[in-house]
Amino acid sequence: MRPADGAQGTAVDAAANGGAGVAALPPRGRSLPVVSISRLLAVIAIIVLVPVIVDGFTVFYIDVCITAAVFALLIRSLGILTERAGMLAVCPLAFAAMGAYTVGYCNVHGWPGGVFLWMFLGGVAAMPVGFLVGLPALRLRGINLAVITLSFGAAVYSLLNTYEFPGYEAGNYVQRPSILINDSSYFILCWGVFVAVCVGIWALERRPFGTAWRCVARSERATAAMGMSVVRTKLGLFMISAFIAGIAGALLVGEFGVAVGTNFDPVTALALFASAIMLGGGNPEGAAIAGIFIAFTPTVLGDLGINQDFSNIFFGVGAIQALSMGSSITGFWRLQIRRISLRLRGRRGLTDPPPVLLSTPPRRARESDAAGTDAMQIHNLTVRFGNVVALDDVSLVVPHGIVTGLIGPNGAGKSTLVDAVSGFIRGYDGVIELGGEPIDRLSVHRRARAGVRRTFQHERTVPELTAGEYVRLAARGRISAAEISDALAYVDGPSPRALISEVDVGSRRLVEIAGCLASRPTVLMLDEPTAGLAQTESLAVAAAIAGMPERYGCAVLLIEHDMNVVSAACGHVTVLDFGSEIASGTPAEVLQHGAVISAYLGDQMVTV
Amino acid sequence: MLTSAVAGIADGGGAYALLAVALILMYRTTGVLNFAIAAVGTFGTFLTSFLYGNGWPLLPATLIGMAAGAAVSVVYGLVYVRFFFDAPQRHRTAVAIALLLGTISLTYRVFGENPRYLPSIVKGSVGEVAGIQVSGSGVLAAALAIGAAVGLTLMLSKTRLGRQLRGISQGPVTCELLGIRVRALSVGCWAVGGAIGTIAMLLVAPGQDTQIESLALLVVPGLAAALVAVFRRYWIAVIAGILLGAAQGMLEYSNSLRVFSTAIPFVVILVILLWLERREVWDEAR
Repeated sequence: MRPADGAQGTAVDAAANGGAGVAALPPRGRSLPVVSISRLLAVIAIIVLVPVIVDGFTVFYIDVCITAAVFALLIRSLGILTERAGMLAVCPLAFAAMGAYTVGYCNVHGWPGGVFLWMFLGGVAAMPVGFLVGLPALRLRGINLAVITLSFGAAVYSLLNTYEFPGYEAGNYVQRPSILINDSSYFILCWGVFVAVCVGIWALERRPFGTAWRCVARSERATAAMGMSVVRTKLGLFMISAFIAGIAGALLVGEFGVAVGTNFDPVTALALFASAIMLGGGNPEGAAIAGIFIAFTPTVLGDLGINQDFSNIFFGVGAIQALSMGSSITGFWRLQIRRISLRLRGRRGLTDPPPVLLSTPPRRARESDAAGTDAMQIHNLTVRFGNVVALDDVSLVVPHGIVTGLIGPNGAGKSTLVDAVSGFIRGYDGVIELGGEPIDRLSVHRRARAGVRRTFQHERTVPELTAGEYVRLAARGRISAAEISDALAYVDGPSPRALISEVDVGSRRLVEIAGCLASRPTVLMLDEPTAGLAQTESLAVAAAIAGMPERYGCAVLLIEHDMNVVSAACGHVTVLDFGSEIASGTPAEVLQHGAVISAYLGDQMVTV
Repeated sequence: MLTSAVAGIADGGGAYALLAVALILMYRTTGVLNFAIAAVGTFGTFLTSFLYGNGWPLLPATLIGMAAGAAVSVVYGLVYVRFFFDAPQRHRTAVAIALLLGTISLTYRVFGENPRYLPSIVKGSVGEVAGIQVSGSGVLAAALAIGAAVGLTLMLSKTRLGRQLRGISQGPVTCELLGIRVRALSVGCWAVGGAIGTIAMLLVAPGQDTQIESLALLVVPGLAAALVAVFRRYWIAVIAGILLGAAQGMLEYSNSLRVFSTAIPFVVILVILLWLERREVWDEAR
């Protein structure tokens, strides 16, 4: 394994950092002095707060502690959207208001079931709102999503100020049941809900659905190419986030008996957003600390005779500082803890166990894999971008049992062909058949599930995952630890326990290939897998590719520039130039072909 | 109906148009969608109000308010240039949201929570249209927006500075390599944006609720107008801002529909964005 290439990718904890994160991180050397100032402030603030929390369980402070739990839930709901999935949504309070409204409504109309059920219903009622806000997020990203959610929050707020919450005017307040009647039991309920929510998120993030959140932040294309629906992932996440915020709103009503519009004002929403970025709403401890901060700073500052507006300025500055560092405060702590533990393990001579090759990895039988048929057939594929014909009537067969090479000079249409086959280009002419069945009408993730897998020219692994977690995700969870280890070992990849952000780009590419193999595809399309590798490494990868059809039962379509790799790996080669096939045959035949030589080296070379 | 539409234009439309022009200018040259523009303008406006309340004449108070708005904006510009010059778009957006929060809180901190008397920098009305008095500040805002749109369009297409600014909007790093002082120009645009934002808020604030946060959130209709113009054509943004004010005015007229007037920008934004981005099924290809 090569050492990490300086990209401190683990620091991608700051909200919204997932996507292009690594590039934005500052060099480590410069970062340390800047860290200390605001982090020192945070530490001092916590030192001030903790005694207050511990001693100060007076009537007044327990109220604040309950509010802190509500805020912590809201920040957690924001954290999974912004930090995990990289979606900048600034309207958690709109979801919370829906939860609060539902509890008030149930109370006023005397619904059966009592407060506990109503609170749950509050969360459920917020889910459709989350779904509706999530719909635009299927097309809108980054700045546009922030604009939409900001304006949505403002519009909801003005509605809330016009219409009272149910029960407010008549004084028909929600009564807590006797078990929750005193504040200390309600305090326990609120923080208990927070812990339960964090456990629930933790459990989800161990499943492919939850792991896919991080993947969406990294690349939507890669998510779909692994067989996961981006639509389902995004909408599901918005609904879960709304559910959590809805519960928080419901708990707020339980605390005060009734909600008022000003509970949900946009400035509070902005403060929640900023504190989530500053402290790391994606981490449970970050959300808890941020919730305590937001609830307590006005109180503590007020007691100290300091104007409360300072707290929001503090959060704004803290958020900007965290963004400039590329890491939230708790994300930074986690990174430090990881560094220390790595150093301790290194001192004790412990390293991550290398992946282990199985003697015979299990192969999944697919109906489409029947011997003697072609794995994939491409008939008369034509792709146009405006007036440019990127692929002109290309037909190609990818048979079982061998590696098929697809070569050609830059701009020949190789990657376009991979994009069309994997489903990213809609509206092509021609037919693509997998095991005799046309897949043209299938979406990207359905094609991937049907057995078409691909890698990308620029690797798109997820830096926050370990290699093993990534491979499990690529196999959509249906795989044993031994098979994960086997796939990584076969490509000579890193340990399953290695964090992807801590391995170099070449190894990340191997992890990506291992993920594809682990999913046991019918056809595996490798888009320049050896780009940027040294010659010896390239040939090792070529040897591994050559063995893939035999060992994993997949047909391979290899796109490559390096003729040594092509000769070593491929049984059959097709050459494209300007979108058309110009030659086809065994590597030796094709490389002698006059049209191929002229395509690569220019006409003069041929005549000479 | 017509009456209330006219009132809407006078109340908000001109200011929305001005905000939209400033938002486009800043987005095109600095790559930042400045969510804090109305908040910065509110800061400048409150300073003007404070000085005026302490016996300053209106004109110097106004000029100092504008200078303060520009100065705050320049500080933000320096933050961007120093820490986020080539940061990914998501980071820059999150920073803008944090700046919105910080500016609102700063304004509260400096000027307190009590409602302020906000002087009208243009006194009285300029005449009667369809039976209602049209306020001078509304007309002035609309006129300034049109003037700014025309001026900016000419400047960008005719002058050397304009060509440089257009270059920056296409590729800041390339321009920097070509020897254009991208960072200085970018901070300059922050100053202009802060000043225009302050003018817009000075003109709209006397007719509005004087709460700091509701003033700061007037950036939302400004964003809607800028989006209609796809952050490109200033004159379309001006027309959109004015029409948005008219539409809000018409809803304000009706008691039952009044609450929806703040929802209009949201609906406009939603429809426009979904239409523009309808083909953006996937995130970036490379």
